[in-house]
Amino acid sequence: MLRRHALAPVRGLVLSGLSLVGFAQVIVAFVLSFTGVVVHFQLERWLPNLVRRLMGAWFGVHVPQPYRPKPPPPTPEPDGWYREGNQLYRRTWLLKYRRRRDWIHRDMATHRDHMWELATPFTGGLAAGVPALLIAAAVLVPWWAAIPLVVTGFAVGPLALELYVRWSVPFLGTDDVLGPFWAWAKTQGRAAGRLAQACGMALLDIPYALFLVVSIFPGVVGFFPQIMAEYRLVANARRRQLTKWTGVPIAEPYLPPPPPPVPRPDGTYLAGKRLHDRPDELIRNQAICTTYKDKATWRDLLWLVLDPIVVIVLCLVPVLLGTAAFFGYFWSWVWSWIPELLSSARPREGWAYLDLLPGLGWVPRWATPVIGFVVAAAVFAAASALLRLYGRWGGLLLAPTRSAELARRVAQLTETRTDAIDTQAAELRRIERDLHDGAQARWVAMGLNLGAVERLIDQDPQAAKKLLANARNASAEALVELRDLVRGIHPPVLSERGLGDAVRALALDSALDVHVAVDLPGRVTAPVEAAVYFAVNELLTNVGKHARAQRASIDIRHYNERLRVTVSDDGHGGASVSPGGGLDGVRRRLATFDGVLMLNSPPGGPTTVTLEVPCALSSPRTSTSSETA
Amino acid sequence: MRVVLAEDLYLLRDGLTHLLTAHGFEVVAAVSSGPELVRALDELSPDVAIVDVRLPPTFTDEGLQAALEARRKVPALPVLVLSQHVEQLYARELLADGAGAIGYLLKDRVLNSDQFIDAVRRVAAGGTAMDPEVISKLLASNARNEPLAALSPREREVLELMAGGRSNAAIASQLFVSEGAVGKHTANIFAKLQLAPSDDTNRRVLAVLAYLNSTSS
Repeated sequence: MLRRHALAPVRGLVLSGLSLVGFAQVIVAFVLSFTGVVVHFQLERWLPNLVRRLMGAWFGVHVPQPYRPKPPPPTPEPDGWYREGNQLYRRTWLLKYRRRRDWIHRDMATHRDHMWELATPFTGGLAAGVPALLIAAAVLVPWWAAIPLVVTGFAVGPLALELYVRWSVPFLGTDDVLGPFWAWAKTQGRAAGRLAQACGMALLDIPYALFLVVSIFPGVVGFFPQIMAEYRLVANARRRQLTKWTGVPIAEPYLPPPPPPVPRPDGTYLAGKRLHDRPDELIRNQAICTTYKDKATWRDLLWLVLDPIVVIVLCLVPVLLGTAAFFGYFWSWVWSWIPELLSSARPREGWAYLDLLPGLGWVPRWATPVIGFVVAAAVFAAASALLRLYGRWGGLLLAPTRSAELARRVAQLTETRTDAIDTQAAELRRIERDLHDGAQARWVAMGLNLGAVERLIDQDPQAAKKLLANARNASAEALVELRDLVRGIHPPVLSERGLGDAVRALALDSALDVHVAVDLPGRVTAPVEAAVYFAVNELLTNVGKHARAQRASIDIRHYNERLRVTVSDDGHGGASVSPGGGLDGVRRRLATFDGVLMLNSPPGGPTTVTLEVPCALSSPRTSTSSETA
Repeated sequence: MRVVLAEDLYLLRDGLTHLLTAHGFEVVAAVSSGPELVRALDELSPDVAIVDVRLPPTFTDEGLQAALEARRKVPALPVLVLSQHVEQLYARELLADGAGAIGYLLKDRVLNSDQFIDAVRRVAAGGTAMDPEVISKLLASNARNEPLAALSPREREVLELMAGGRSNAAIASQLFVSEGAVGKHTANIFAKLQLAPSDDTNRRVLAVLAYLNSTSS
């Protein structure tokens, strides 16, 4: 007990000092990162790690290292090149650099470390330093004032450290150590940060909006359709951002591009009444027309002009109000006793320390910090709601109109239908080829054999017997081939037992240790069943081939009129949906059913692939169970 | 020996009836659908049932379900299940009660009538007859199993035949070795898999199948 009080100022001083080092380090790290160097982000982890260890040793608070495991070293393809996604590398250094950069940057723990290092000197670190500060201050004052200072210093030591620990654990720990309050505070804090970000972006938008509006008039700046077409990249980035912020998806609203022009028999291209020798001019004209005709172009522009105004109301005012109230009227009051203690300076009437802000002279002295705190807390609590409101506003102009939605839907259906027809045709060709080269050929041979048997059976029964045995072997082989073929067209176990058991049968035949959990209160419609079965088959084969995994698990469930299948493995991750690859094939085949494929595969693993297909369940046969193969 | 036969394809049903009759079996019922099979098994209490997995009216796994149901009512009722394809999943369900007297074969095996009749007799006598393809799938999904990896290629061969339900004598004649050599191999297999050795063919097969079943789960 006494030991704790005696040690607290020293420990506080150490932690406080470390927080200053951390602050300096993070500033240097940020400056260095502009040069593209990333190594130091990994090196600077020594400090949070030290603090984690100290918290364990001094306060018994166990904070595990939250970092993701290191990415594996690159392995060459058979031809000696190194591959990452669709990029090939001759040597490994760039690949290693990229992997390390992604590993550090995509790890939220890195960013939490930085936030903690930036904020701690002014919060937890300051609190931890207070006891030592009090004791040190005792040197400067007469002895009768020094004694209470020293006593207070030792007395509040453990409390100050407790504050420090409570402040630091949410930043330094893994995500799951957060209590409900901190989780809420994190959500609100993130929303507040995003409101501030929206202010910053609106500021950049103003000159952009002016530029675009001016460019409507031909000949002033640039070429309007081209500029607007390029602006779509920016608008799409904003759509994705709003989707990420609010969770309400905002789809791309643009009309699909016109189909490529078809040449006439004489090789020219017809547009209206004019013939073009080459298609490129025509394509350009069509693109310009589409941009002008597309309502989304004009809605984009309107949004860009109006957004700064909305931002001022929804984002700028609350952010400024909250910041000013908190730091200007509350936070400055909290720490005001330090300058008062050390000097004879007295704060201005109304507790507004920052000279930028007017003092609240018209309320009693004690009310100023209370008002500051309440206003700041109210803004903080409203942050999520404000962000949602801002998202709604974005959806109003950036989301597609009903007719644009229909146009896109038609384009998408055309694409997936073409895909489906192509796949089906390819499948039929494969079956035809297999039958032609396999079973059909064997039966011809069998027929020939039997013909020979017919001729030989009287003269040479021995030879006839041999030929008969051959014929029987051929028929057995033909059966095996047919069975494999049938399995490839539609596995019998799928018709007999449905998706759940068919996937279980797959799992049993897999060389991996596969755990299957199925929760399907009925039978999935036949086409979806087959598509999902083959998708899972493909995914499981992928896991076996590429992921170097030991275990995999498959979860199949149906809710909200959607079938959801999750396939995860403990392999080394780093998978990607590259065009023409296996995952892309799965995605395209599911798209026929409006299904989607989501992939989460950080380097180092684990990999999770989620398939979602809207579908209804038929017959009420129940199958709910879980088992390991 | 009284047999109930369930097969929906007329030609195959007829062919099997002839084959069985020619080998001295009495086919007391040759039915073509699930409900008929359930009734026949209930009323005729045959010595062995030969059942196709897929039967009308639903053309799903009616035959298999009827067979499993009948074995719940009459434990260890000898059933030989035939199918156009074999699944580990079904094999496990059939073996789950551990009572023996069970067979699971591809329909192709009917082509070799001697072996097929042998399998029917083995099942009727309380033994097992597992299709080689089931066995190889069971072994393949146990590929990473260490004790199995310790078996020599010859022992593996013997294990496959043994799991199919063969006696030492049958294995010996198939591999062209003496019965004593097979005995030695089986003793080694049991030692490596840490199973209690047994001379009784049926118990021995069940032990091996139970081992393959349990270790891959």
